[in-house]
This record gives sequence, structure tokens and C-alpha cells, in this order.
Amino acid sequence: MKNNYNIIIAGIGGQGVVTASNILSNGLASLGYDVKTSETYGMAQRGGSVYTHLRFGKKIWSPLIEKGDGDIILGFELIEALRYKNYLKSDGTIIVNKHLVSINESDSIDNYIKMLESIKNLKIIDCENLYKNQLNCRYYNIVLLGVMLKYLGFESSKWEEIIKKMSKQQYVEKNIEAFKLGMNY
Amino acid sequence: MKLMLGNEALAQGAFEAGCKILSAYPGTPSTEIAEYFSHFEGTYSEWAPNEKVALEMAAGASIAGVRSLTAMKQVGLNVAADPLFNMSYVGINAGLVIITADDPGTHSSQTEQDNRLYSISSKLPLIEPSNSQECLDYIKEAFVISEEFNTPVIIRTTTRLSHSKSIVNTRPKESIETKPYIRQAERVLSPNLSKIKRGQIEERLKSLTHYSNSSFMNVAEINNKSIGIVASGVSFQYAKEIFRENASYLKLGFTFPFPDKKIKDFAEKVEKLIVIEETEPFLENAIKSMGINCIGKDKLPPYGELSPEVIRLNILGESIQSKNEEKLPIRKPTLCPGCPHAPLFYVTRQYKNVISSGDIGCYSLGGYDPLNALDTIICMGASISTGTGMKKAQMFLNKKQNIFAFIGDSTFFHSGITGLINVVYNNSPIITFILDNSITSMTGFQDNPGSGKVLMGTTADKIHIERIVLGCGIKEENLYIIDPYDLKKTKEVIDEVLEKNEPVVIISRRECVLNKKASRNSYAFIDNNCINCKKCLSIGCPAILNTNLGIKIDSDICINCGVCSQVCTSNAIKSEVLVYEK
Repeated sequence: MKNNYNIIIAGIGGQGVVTASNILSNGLASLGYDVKTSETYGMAQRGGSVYTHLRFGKKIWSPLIEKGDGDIILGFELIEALRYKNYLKSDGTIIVNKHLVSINESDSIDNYIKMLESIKNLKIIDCENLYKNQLNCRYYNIVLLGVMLKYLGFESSKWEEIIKKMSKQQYVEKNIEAFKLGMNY
Repeated sequence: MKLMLGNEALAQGAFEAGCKILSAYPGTPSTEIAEYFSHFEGTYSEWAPNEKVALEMAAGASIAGVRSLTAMKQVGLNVAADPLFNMSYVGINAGLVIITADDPGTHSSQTEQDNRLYSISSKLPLIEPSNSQECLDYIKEAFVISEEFNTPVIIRTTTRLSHSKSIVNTRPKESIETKPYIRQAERVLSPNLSKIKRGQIEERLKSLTHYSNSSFMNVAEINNKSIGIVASGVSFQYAKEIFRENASYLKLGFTFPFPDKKIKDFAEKVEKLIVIEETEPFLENAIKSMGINCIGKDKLPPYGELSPEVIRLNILGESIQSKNEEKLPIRKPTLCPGCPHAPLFYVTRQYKNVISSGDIGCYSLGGYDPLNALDTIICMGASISTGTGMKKAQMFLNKKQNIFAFIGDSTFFHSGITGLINVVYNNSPIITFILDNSITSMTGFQDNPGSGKVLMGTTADKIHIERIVLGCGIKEENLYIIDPYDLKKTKEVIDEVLEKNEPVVIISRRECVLNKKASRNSYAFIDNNCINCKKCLSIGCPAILNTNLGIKIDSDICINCGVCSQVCTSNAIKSEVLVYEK
């Protein structure tokens, strides 16, 4: 693992961007990394764009990721993931749920998938098709978190502990299930 | 060790410093400070009706002998400016700290305002933390400074400090004695006394300058001497990220009075001085007035939020961005599905020859696409008072307009009442709509005098808006209470009041849909009768979607308020009962 990692988590209010970034940031801090996050509040309820800048490593100064310095975009929705494309390094990664919440009449999934073609490291996970019989869509954020943690080379058991600790009682079981699905993607 | 928001760290630090009292008014990005502080045992916190009351409350508590705190967003300090300036003369007893949470780049504000400038004219010391640990450490020092120098202290944060998390080491709560109360004649301000106090304030500034020049919050770090960066707040962190060891730094945390000696020493050690700060050239101007040359807003943008890439581009002329920004549609903020404000504006904007004076809250969104139901939004409480001015102007104009004013419940308590008094006292027969959803919603569902609960969670007697309205002198027959979901009745009432030439208040009352804990049991859908007239789209409800398969209702978020079915011209909108809750 290199010195610093810069991750942008992006989605729409209600998709669990803040939840995912809480689990990730607190988990990383408990593993001994220096962590800084920048979060957005207020647009969450009103179906607006929500993003978190999350940075971890040995020593982090700026809470904001510099444009062009992003390692990973973790996207819960296609348009929101694309919105931060210009933050990515040239060899950066996008891990995104194949989910579109359209803004304009003309929006189509294919259009946005096409815009992702230039990304060298790309994982598009079709959560709806893969997991709709097992999981409510509100857990897809944890599935994607699992995919990303596996990609970063983290150990599954450590993170299961972290997720157990950080989840509300009624969500623990489903969160662990979602996380395992992501890790095994 | 804990990852904390800057706001949480401020609350934690105040608590550790023995601060026991907080009074505040919600305002992004300051709101969480009060919310976190309210959970500490052995303390008292409250939502005040507005920031002036909040600061005065905290000042009173400080004078009585208890360390106190108030917090607000940048425009809130404008409301609290009267007590801010005068408390500089009155002095304090136990420490008094005032937090101003500024918003460079206007993420959630109508204006961009650098409140550090207040410290110059109010003659109050100013502290700028740059990460969450400093939020905790510096607020503790703020209380010490406040008591040592007999002055309120201002702490200034920005969004990327308030709403960023970083690692904090907390400490045990200090056991701080409260101060005994002893009457002091000089707390009773008068013109003659103030002539003397003015001189004392100048002496105080001299002592504070001495403190500033030796404060642990102002630190020089000498590395590469070709560039010397002077920075405060989170801008320091951006600078450190970009320049690393390739520059020397003068990190300023106690920024007013300016640490003139420290700045001079640093300037002598480095070749080129660059000042990095948001948003006004506050430090830069001070440095230049000392006769020291520096680069600042001549290179960096004079407004807007700073960020690592902005600094790199404007100072170094470089960019590491490899991809261009994708041209993507913006998700505009909308009112929620079933919001009671939407149908009210849907009706009111149909009236011609009306000037609609708006205000600040969720209902501000009625002024944007697609409702476009407002002519002005100025500042908190301005709707009614501005409306009275618009009305009086009609006397001198040929083409006469009716005047509607729109204000929320919390905003009305905040600063609308005095406007309504002006309506009656100076006879401006405008139609005032009070949008009562019984909560302060835009900032995150905080309680207010009409909601029946206080910040610390206990119940409170509701203050009834209609009684205030009658108390202001509105006649009983000119006070209406409507359910905004009933479009027909709303229009009937407005038609009726337009015939009157007297001040009228219409309370549009329905609980905020998000605040209701009731589960949904039905939703609406559009059937084959739809003729695609698109009238339902003009309500602005995010559950009504214009897809390439026609107009559809998103059953996941529709709450079946029934408004769109009233608007529909072809009886195409029906409701479906939910078999199970998704």
C-alpha cells in the first residue's frame, strides 16, 4: 500500500454516502491511519448530490482532495460518480453501481456508461440485477464498500469487526451480508 | 482518540474548558456545535429565537459568572452585531466565546462574507483553527484569553473545517470554578463612560498584541527560504499539502490583533512572502500596512473558496488535473415530495400584478425553478418589512401591484414580528403568508418556539403564531388559517383577501413531511387518462418524473399528498394503497 490514498464517495442523498464514509473513515482510523474527510450536509434529504472526500495515509494535511489526485471514485449512482471524474489521477479507478437517477428526460444509462469508457480501471457493479433478491437497495452502499476494500487489499475479518461495531443493532446482520457480497464480487 | 468534525471538536473543547452554557440559532455550517454540546452532562444549551438573543443570552450568563458560548453562521453575526460590538466595551466575568462559521464559496449561504473583518471594528481578539484538534485546543485557550484580558473572543471557522473530520485527542474535563458575581459600575454603558472605556480598549489591544506575538497558536516553520507562506485556517493545510518542505511557513492561529513582530521576523528570514487566506485579504492588508511586500489576492482569486488546485494553479502556474470536467446536469435542490410549501406557491404564482417578497428557509426553493414564485429573497425576516416598503411605493406608481410576503414559522420568530408590527402600525395592507410547518427544517429539523420542544429534548409550551399575529394588531377577521394541500380553499381565501384593503395574515399550516414519523401507506400513480398537459410537472414535486415513456410518479418517494391529483386536468392521477412498506 502506498503513502496516501484519496477516495471520493459520491451518490444521492439517501443512498448512504455519509454512512459509508463514517464506516470507512472510522475503520481506517482504528487501523492506525491518519484520516481526514470533507463532507456535505443539507442536500441529503432533498435528493441532491452528496459527496465525501476521504483521505488516509501516514500524514494528511488537506481535508480536500486536489483535482487530479484522486485514486478511487466510489459511486452509488452513475451521474454522481461521473461528476468527479476530473478529480481522478490518469490511472485512477472508478467503482460504481450501475444505477441511474435521471435528471433530464434524455438521460439514459447507456449514455453515461459510454462516458466511463475512458477510465482505465473501471468496475461497474449491477447491484440491482445481482442482489435484488437478497438485499434491499439501501445496503448497496455497503456492497460497494466491500468491493473497494477488497480492491485495496484489506483483510475481510478486520472490516467485519469494524462494521459490526459501527452498525446500528437492527442493521448489523444485513450490513455484514452486504459487505461479504462485495468482498466476494 | 476520535475522528471528529471541527464542529464536534469545538463543542468538546468548550466542555473540557468548563463551559456550561450555550445559546445559538441554527445555521449551516455551525448547527452541529450546539447539537453536540447539548449532549454533555452538567451543561445547559438552547436554541434562541435569533442570533442577537443567543449572543445576549451567552453574554448574560458570562456576566453572571459562568463560562458561555454562542455559535452562528456568518450572516448570523450580522444579526448579533449590536451585542457583539457593545460587549467589547462591557467586558466579561466568566469567559465568553463567539463562534462564527463562515461559508467561503457559498455552499449554503446567500452571501460570501469574511467575518474576520468584524474583529477589527469590534476590537475583539480572533482565533482561526485549521483542523479539528486545533478546534478543541484553541477554544480552550479562548476561554483563558477571554478571562485574562476581560474580552469576548471570536473563533472563526469555515465549511471545510466545520464539516471536515480529522483525528482528535480529547482530554478530561477541567474543573473550572464559576466566577463570583460582583456588581461593576462600568457594565452600565453610557457616553461618558465609553470615552474612558475606549482608551482601555486600546490598551487591551496592545496587551493582546503582545500575547499574539508570543502565542503558541502562531508558529513559524523554516524550511526552504525562497518562499515564505503566511496562512491561517484550513488554507494552511492546503498550502502544506502542496508545498511540503519546499516552503517555509508562518502558521497563524491567533490572527487579531496581528502578531506584527512575528510577521516581521518571518518576513526577514524568507525571500518571497505569499499570503494564503479565505476570503478577504485580511492578513495581507495588515502585512502590507506594516510596509512588508507580499503576494496575495493579486495572484489568488479575490473571492470564492480556496482549494489545493486553485492554489497550485495561481501560485505555481501548474495543474495536475488530467481529465476535463464532464458537462453533467446539476441536481437542483427541490422541495420534498409532499412538501406543503409547493402547493401554496403553485396557487400564489398564478396571480397577476403581484410582487412576492420571499424569505429564507426551505420555502426559499419556491423562488427557483420550476415554481418561480418569488420576486425577492434578501435576508432573514426581510419578507414582511420589505413588503411594507413595496406597498408604500405603490402610492407613487402608476401601475399598481399587490404585495404578498412569504415567511416561515422559525423565520417569523427570528425577525418577522417587527415587520408585522410595521404592517399594522404604519398601515401597509400587504398579504402576509406565514408558512408554518412547525419546525426549523432547512438546517436539519431543529426545534423552535412553535414546535413544542427545546434543544435539550424536553417539552415546551408552544408559542402560538396566531396569538402573536393578533397581538401585533391584525384584526381577527383578517387572520386566516389554511391547509395548503387544499388548493381550492387556498385560492378562495386569496381571492377574498384581495378584495380587502387591510393588512391580512394567512397562516399556511401543515407539518413538514420529513419530520413526520408516520409510515407511508399509499402512493399516487398516473393512468391512461393522462393527456400529457404537463401541469403536474409545474408543481416541482421530485416524485413526478418526465420520462421518455410519459409522465410517471416514483412510487418509492411519493407520499400521496393529493396535490397533483387536484392539479391534473384529465382526472388521470389516482392513489394506490401499499400492501407492504418497502
